[in-house]
Amino acid sequence: MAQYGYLMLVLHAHLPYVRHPEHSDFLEEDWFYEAITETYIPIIDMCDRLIAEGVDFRFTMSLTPTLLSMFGDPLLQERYLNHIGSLIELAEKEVERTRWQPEFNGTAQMYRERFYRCRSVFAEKYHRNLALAFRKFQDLGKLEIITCGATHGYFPLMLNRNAMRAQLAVGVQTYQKYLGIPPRGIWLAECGYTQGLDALLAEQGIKFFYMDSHGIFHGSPRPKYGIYAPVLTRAGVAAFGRDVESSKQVWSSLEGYPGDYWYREFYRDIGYDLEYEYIRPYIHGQGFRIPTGIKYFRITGPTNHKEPYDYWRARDRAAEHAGNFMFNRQQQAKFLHGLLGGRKSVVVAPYDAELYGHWWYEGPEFLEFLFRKLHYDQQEIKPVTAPEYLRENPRLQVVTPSESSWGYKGYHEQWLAGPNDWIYRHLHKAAERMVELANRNPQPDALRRRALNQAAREVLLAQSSDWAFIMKTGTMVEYAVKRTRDHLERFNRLYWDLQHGPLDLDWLSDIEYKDNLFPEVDYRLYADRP
Amino acid sequence: MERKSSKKKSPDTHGANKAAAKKNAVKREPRKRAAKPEPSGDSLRRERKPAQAPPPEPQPAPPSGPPSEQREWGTPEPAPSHWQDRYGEDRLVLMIRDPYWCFAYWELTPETQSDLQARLSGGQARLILRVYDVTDVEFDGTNAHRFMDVEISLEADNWYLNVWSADRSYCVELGLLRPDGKFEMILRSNLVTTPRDSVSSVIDEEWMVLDDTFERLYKAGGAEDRGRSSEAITKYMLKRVRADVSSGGLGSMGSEGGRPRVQAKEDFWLVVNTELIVYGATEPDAKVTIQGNAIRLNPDGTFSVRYALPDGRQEIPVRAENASGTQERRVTPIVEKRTE
Repeated sequence: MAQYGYLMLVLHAHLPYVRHPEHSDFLEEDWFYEAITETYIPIIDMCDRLIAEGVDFRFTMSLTPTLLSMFGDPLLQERYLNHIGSLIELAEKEVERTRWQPEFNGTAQMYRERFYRCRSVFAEKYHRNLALAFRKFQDLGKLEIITCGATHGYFPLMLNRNAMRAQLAVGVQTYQKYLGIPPRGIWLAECGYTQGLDALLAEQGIKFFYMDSHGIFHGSPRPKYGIYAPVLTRAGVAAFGRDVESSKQVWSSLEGYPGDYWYREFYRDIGYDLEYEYIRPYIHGQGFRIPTGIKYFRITGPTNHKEPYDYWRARDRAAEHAGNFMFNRQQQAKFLHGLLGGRKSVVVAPYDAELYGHWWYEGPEFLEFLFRKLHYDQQEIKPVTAPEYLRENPRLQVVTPSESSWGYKGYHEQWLAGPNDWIYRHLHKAAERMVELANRNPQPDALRRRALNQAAREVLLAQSSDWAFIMKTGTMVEYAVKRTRDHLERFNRLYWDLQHGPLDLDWLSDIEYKDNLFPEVDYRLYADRP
Repeated sequence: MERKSSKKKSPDTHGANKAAAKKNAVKREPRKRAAKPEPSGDSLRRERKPAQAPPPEPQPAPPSGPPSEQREWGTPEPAPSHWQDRYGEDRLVLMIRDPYWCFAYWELTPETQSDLQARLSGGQARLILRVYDVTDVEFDGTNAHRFMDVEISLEADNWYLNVWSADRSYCVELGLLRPDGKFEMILRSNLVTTPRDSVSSVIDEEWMVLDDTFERLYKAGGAEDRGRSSEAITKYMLKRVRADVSSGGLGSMGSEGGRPRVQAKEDFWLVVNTELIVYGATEPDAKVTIQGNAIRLNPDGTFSVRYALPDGRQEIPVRAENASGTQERRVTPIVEKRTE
């Protein structure tokens, strides 16, 4: 059997910076804890198992600077241990409570085992910092970690070039800080690409990035191999395009694997279902019901009737789906091999990492089965990372990609619509003022430097594309609005105080404590370059 | 906390559990997670607008400023004193939304506003946005390929503009259209170029070898490019890309992936479940089992265990043994549950 093509799996792992030291129980921090338990640790466990068994696998993960910063944050680490400790306590109770319900008891035991496992992987194996795990897999050559803009800022709507540069530079610095080497590739938030961004990427030493299909396909000149080979932009950065077919198999709500009736039902959680006083200690501190992560039902069918979840049956389905996915990629690679005149295609399959495990509970199992099958059962397609591919295929067509994103309808509508368009006049103004501050303050004293650096943090935090995204989706809107306003307000006050003085040291220390990411940020990144 | 063995067997004496499980099927809509945007049928607007000014379909400007906050936030911060709704300047900014729509926002100083107010009050002049197609020209206000006008009100501060076509450059001016037909510009925007919405007609090929960063120089040959022309691949891609360009709003974090979501029918409903609490107390250092399973005592020797109670009969032997293992006590509650 000959090799016909490559498969490049990309998992985009990202969360906005949700750290609230001022509150002991903060709902949005749960995003981070849930993702650790359900996505990051299962993926880490998978890698460790595959390595131990000698399975040669490859995939790519973006670990965004906000996520890396949260991995490394002692307060969040401590809070995760509390969180998982509490889940273990609940799972212990659940194993007892369901003793007379064998249809749930096995699942309760599974959760108990998994939560203990999470705690030991988190606390003991990787000393509370999961970045160490991913770094290890990168060092072993199995995983290619790429960076992202500092706070997942959406470049096409940023307009200000210095602000884009700062997002990129802080993304590169943060990567280097946590992973020890400079990044080779980048995930542009939401695959948002805009003309001229490639030059800024090249400036930061970035060698490759990812786009949605039409970004490449609508590029000029017309890409000879479509999205099945990367193109080289004028600035000399390689751009890989997302393959629609493989994405659809996993994402589509109609045909996608995650909707299989044997898979775990996301929306039924004991946080909603169980008697209030019993579940009270495990839901939100203020007493409103939230999901706990313990879910006993499977999707079952298109109605509200749900049957008990059976992990082993679900696992079998994940294996079947992995086999089906591989088969489809093989057929696709053979077909493309002919179409491309004998050239090996590369099929790029990017997904939000949190799909695997958090939304699709069996997703990590699917990935593990897929890597095993790719390794043991065939040679037609080879899992690959971008640097490997580019080493083997360094000759690329020069194409100017087209502005695009992987969002709704393929452009910017998700982030520029009625519910969120009001933010841009403020974001643009803050970026412009930040540039002005940087230009005017080449040699500040120590206190002013602190204020200037904090101003840069506030601009970056306000620029998270997540806030606009959440405003558009319509849930948790108040939080997104508050975050946008808080950061802009803090910025405005710094801007005012830096011009009209005096600086309020207590207040500055307080916001440094609250918005503490990127401690090494240098506000001069915003200065105009000669 | 000590880890318990997970190998314990579940009691197998409760045949009624299946029936109970069915009853447990709670019919209810849990709290909503971030909703996935509905993919609309026309995932990309494909219709080309005629060359003359298209129907502007302007969207009314929403009230400016963020929605008011409703949720309470623990310790309240001091009232926002540094929030700025406006920045005291005259400014017009144009942004791209997609190949066919741009978004303009602007700010007018109070002085400019009152000036405009005065000049508009006669009802003669009209306030307009003039959208210019300035593709490939050095725009000086007069040399656009074409323009169209959108009438706006003085209260508006942003507008969605349906532009002529993809892959063109646009600039917008805000100003007064006087009764004599003359346009008086007040603000001019930046220039934007909308994205291409189709494959490029340029098929010249230029190939480059990546620099030695990837540590291997390409050896001349070029055999790999002797494949078919891009025609075949273009056709193949066209079938795929356009049918499904990001049909699902694949945003991060809030997106639901491929999970189908069952919408609860808001029928009237009732769910009834039962649980049983077995609790008691003994010496703090005693060992206690319930149905043979060891349970943990509170420091004061009390215990409490909670069970989901399916239909059927439960015998629940509770056994306590003192620390030295020399004495024991047994109590066996028996419970029968039926559902009618």
